[in-house]
Amino acid sequence: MKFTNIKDEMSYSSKRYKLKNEIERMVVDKGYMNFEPEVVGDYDKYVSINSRSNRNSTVKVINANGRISILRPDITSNLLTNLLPKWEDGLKLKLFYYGKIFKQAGISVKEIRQMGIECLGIDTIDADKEVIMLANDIMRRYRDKYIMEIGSSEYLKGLLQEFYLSEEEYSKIMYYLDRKNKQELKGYIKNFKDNDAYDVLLNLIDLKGDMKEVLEKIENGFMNDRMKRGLDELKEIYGFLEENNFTKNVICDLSMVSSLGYYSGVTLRGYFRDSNREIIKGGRYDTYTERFGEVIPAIGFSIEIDELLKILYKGGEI
Amino acid sequence: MDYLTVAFAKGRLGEQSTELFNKIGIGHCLDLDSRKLVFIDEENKIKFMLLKNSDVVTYVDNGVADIGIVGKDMLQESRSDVYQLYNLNFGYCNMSIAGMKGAEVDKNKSRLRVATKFVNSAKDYFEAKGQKIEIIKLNGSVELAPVLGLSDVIVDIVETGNTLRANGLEVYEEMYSINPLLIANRIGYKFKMNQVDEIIGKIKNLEEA
Repeated sequence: MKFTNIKDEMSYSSKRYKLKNEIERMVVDKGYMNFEPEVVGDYDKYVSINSRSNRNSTVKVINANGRISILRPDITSNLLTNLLPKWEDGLKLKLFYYGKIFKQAGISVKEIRQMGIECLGIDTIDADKEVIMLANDIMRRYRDKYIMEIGSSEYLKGLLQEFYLSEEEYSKIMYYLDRKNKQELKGYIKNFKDNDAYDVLLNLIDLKGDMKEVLEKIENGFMNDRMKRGLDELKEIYGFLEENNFTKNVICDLSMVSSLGYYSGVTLRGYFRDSNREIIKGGRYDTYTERFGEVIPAIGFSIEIDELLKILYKGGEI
Repeated sequence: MDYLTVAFAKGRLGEQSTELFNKIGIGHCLDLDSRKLVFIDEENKIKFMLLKNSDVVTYVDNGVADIGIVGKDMLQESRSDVYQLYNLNFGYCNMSIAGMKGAEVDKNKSRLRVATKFVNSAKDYFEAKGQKIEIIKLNGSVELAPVLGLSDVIVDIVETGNTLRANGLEVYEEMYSINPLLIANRIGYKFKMNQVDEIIGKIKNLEEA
């Protein structure tokens, strides 16, 4: 058996460069500017901001003075740490980044290339539409068959706040929602039966698939202000997708749970049939920015460049 | 045509899974007595694969199979985040802690020696209880460990308890109940949602009938 030689590696690397440039061109054309956040950050600061994220998988570095630093596990939080302390009122920023994130995988460190865009300071639903459209354009460029999945953190969090959950209950319910285990969720929440929002929570896992049908289904169910805001946002987005004939590849999933846990509005994911990873992942995260000082409207997504390249690369051609 | 790929476990669970799918009109192509490992149901556009029980989660997790039927024991042990779409109502048993009948746990020892195939499940359970343990990973005949003094207790699946009794052991504590689940790959499911949901719907109807 012949293993990879230098030529193969060079060819792979060139293809990656080409792919990166291709997507870069697409986002630059839409008015996004490049930003390069720092690779190393302060561990304590990261942990205090991202209290719910998985700390075990982060890569720590001990400095000469004994302080612990972290190799960025995602770029968004890193970018906000850099920019938000200097934020000026009324500023509108459209940024993109390309770089590596670091994760602990077994006994080794995994380096994952990520590209992404962020819209900061743009409050309107128009930003949602533009970002979803861009994500859709990128997906469409590489495969005829793809799925864009849309969820709403606002609707989900609005629903959960009705139950005044303890930290433990919250994460347990999130776990069942994430694994789509309705039977065990039902067993776990049986004590909440008297709550007005019980039925919606119980059936949340079934609220997936055709977006129009899902939106119609929740219209008349239990609703508070926050859930209503989530629903309105989804409706507006659906209308926009319909106008542009993009509904064919779009599905909805209202029990979509993000591992980062910082989203506060529309969430989106992009999938290809021949890949076992999410190619695109993102959403609105206004409330997350508050942890860096003040609330600034923010929405963005990241693209798994390594994974995309893996499925596109067939060898030989550059 | 894009087939739905389904992973079944070889052995008793595979037999029960096949029986269930046959009842809802799927997978009559499956012949568990043959030595073949892949079967294709052309009518329903489903490809079945027969795997070792402990490999079903791996195949589904990596997207080689879209869905699979696997015991909760294996799923828990793998720590995989595959979708757990449906808990099936057959083959109930317990994940239990067992040891020599009538034996007292030696309180002089700070660590309990636990022999098991289910390393992660055992670790998680004892950690939650604040009990320090030493894991001894075994691959079979776990019941022998306390008998021969390799461990203080075992963590294993107990169905009828006959094997335990035959070896002079008894259940100390039932950890949680185990049943098979229909699991799905997180991305494969998105592309095959209607077909998978239809299968689950039929299983549900069958159970309720």
